[in-house]
Amino acid sequence: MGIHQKCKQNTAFPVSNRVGSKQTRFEALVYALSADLYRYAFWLCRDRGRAEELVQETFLRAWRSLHALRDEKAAKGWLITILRREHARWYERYRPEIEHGLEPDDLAGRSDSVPAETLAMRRAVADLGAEYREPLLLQVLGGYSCEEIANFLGLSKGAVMTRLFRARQRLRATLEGQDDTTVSHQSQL
Amino acid sequence: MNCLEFRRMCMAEPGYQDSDYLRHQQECPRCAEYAANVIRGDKQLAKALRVDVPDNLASRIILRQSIFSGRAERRKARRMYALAAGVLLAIGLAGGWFIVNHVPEVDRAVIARINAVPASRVAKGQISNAELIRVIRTVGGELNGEIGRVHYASIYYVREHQCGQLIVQGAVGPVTILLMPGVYIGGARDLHSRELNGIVVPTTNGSMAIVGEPGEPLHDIEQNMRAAVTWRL
Repeated sequence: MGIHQKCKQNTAFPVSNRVGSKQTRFEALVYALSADLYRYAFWLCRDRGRAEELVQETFLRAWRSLHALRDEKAAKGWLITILRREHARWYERYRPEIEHGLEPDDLAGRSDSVPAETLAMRRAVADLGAEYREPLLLQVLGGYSCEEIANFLGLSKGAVMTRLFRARQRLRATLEGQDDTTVSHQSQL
Repeated sequence: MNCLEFRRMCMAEPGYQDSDYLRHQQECPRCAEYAANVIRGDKQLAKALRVDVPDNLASRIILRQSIFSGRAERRKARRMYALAAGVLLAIGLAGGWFIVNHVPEVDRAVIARINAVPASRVAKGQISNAELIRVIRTVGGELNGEIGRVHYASIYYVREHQCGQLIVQGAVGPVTILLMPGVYIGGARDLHSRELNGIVVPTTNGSMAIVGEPGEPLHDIEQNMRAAVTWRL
């Protein structure tokens, strides 16, 4: 079983085993998925404060329409969809003219000793274009397949595969200290 | 699947589970090593992406939701109270309108008869005692005493009921007495009319309406009628 499948199962389990009132269901979702959702939101908007606000709004909307969630195993995908819409709405409303870069504190978080290679990797992910970063997040953080990601993003499976291929290629190029434009497709293969 | 196809697929989805993909991975050591590298890189990436989550994030989300749902509940309760108040107000208004405007059927019949034969237009003469006895008997009564000067006595019909109309001289002016056997009312009450001064009272076999000028002592006339007439059941 791959890393991605494990990731999906672990997050779905505690939710699907809790049955009860709307409040109980909701709290189960929050405890099981809020951390993953926050990380996804953070890498989507690259701003800790905004990420928390996004997650709060997402769960509030989820609370309002919890009756629409029939299968608890689909909860994570459902929440991600809500979060993406919230993010798009926010982006549409405020249209940040300058995409600010991540501050070192944002990358390190509260941990005092984040290894340099982890920080470098975070910087490389943050610097990826949104069109590459998002499918990569969905796959690595969310554990979704190319087909599922294609459904989330409204793209063809082929387009998603291309984006994931290029995302990994660019990450590798950045981390190896090369300008990705000089790294040929063939040399990566 | 050849090596190029395998590596392209691996870079796009390292955990791909297709049988051709897995077979190639088993059969080609260089591609297996390539896949292992990509998976190792993904594990490092997954670890790097796991940024710190704010303290008590879940609790704060639940707190905000509970505040929101509390507000929503209060809004809902307020809406319900407003609705209930609206319904009560509507009922109150309708009830008030009913009380103010609703004229009981008996009163309508009384008013209609008085308008048909107004006391003011009846000659102020006196009818014979025999005629008075006949009319009272027709409506189920027996005259046993004096009821004063009677200007008018006749029988009329309200639906199938035979009723009697008397116009007698009161202290202030002419007084109309309508004898309505078979028309039962709950209790004595004032006539429901802005123009007329009247009362409607129960009798043994139905009811009796007494209508006179303002200031006319109608209850005295009622007592007089009760004393002078015996009603048959």
